[in-house]
Amino acid sequence: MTAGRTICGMATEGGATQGKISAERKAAVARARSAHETIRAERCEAQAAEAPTEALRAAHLRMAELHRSTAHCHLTAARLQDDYASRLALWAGQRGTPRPRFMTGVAEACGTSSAALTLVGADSPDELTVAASDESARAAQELEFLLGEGPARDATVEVRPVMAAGPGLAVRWPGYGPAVTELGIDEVAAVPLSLAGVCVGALAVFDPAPGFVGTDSFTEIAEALTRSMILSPDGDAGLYGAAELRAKVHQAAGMVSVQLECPVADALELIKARAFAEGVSARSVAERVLDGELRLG
Amino acid sequence: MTNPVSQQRLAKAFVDLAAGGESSEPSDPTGLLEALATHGTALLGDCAATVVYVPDDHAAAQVAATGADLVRLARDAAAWGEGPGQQARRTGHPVPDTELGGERARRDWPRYTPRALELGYGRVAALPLRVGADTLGALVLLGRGSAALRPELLELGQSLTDVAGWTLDRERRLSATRALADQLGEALTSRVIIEQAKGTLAARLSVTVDEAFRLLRAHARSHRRRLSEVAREVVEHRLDLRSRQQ
Repeated sequence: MTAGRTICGMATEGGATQGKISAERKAAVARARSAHETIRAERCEAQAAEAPTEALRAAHLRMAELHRSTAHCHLTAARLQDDYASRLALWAGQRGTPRPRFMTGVAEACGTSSAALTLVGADSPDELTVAASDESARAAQELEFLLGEGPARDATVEVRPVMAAGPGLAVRWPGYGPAVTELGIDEVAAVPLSLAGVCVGALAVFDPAPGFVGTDSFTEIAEALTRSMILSPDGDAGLYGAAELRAKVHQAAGMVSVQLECPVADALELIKARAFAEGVSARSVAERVLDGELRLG
Repeated sequence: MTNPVSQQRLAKAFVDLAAGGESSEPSDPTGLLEALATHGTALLGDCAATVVYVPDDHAAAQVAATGADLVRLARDAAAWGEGPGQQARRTGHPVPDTELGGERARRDWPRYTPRALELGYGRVAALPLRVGADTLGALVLLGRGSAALRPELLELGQSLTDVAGWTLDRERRLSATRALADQLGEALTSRVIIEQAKGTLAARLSVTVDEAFRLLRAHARSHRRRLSEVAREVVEHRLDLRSRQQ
């Protein structure tokens, strides 16, 4: 499969510096939030210590616990930003190498080289943007997009962690399972990006480190990303320009909808089906449609 | 005099407070305020409790109390901007146990005091309702008779109010997060629809995708409409820019 829109561009001092400053600022904001949550936790703990009754003490301790966990989550977010800032700093000194991806650091924090983050709209579990750490994650996520089934979608819809491995992949997802196995992936897992009772997408990992799935770290990384990047007033849901909207695919869907006089959603499904049948990406089918080289229907 | 506070009752109070009252909407504090007033009254022996909450300067005061008379008193106090609850809310400090028959009460709360006395209350104290860094309301405790409100009761009342304030603060943050999630979802959906509209228009008018985008933008601008709305109508075949090009 061909890659979607990737961030290429040569290493320039300016681009790296700007990204680095932005990541450092986000790290500082996350650290300040963590410190603030710690102070609130300490205040609750002090109130618990002075609580006149046992029930009160328990209530204050529960509140403290929530603040501690949020503080920890902000620290995780700060570390991810620090990691990205140092990758950019390193890159600035190496001309000609591809620009580091934010998701690469996220994947490594999950003990793998392949991770993908998807975002959905309010009223549909259909993926609207995707950011991947590497080609393997990108290809796996493309399969999910083409087939309309897979771990990220399930984690988003069910709002709970999802995992499958080996033969379990095909059992859970009759289309996606065998296809993702063919990519050489043996285990997939995803956690929802959920905050305040709203789920905005999922973080999926492919062939994670043994024992990583099911740990608190996985959900914590997802929460850190949701709090610091996706649902933060000073965040960046585009993940430093890495989140891809599949613009050409949607343009082509619009075009096909006119050619076949069908709803645009049906046109999109036709493009996906064609891409899966040909074993290529939706983007490559879309490009041929847009260039007038291919008419569907 | 006052029964010792039952642990079980207190535990239930906190569960209710943390749940935002019994049946309230996620961002509607009414249930929480009612729970605070009810539990304040139930827990604090002979006291009656009223709650006032003013989420921001532009919002109307929300009140809760046990009994219609007290609700009316709390509402009037909020309208007058007078009384121990208003004082605690304004200053952020507790109003200590005060004798309603005394000089100070009559002087500081000329309208509130006679009404409270009329309802049979002799003592009053108010505890600030702190929500995050702000004081946005108060729990007012009213005692019958002339015996002072005991310090342990005020301490307990403050703890109860703190838990309610913490819950309100949390709810406020959650609402802000939900609003961000809505905005993000809408923004992403709009961008997808705009791309679809570019392709739709390009095919319909046999122009390039870039030219289609230019036409979409020009139409939105000249009709003072949002680009995403125009795009949606194009995609749903409800708007044909062919006949209305400008």
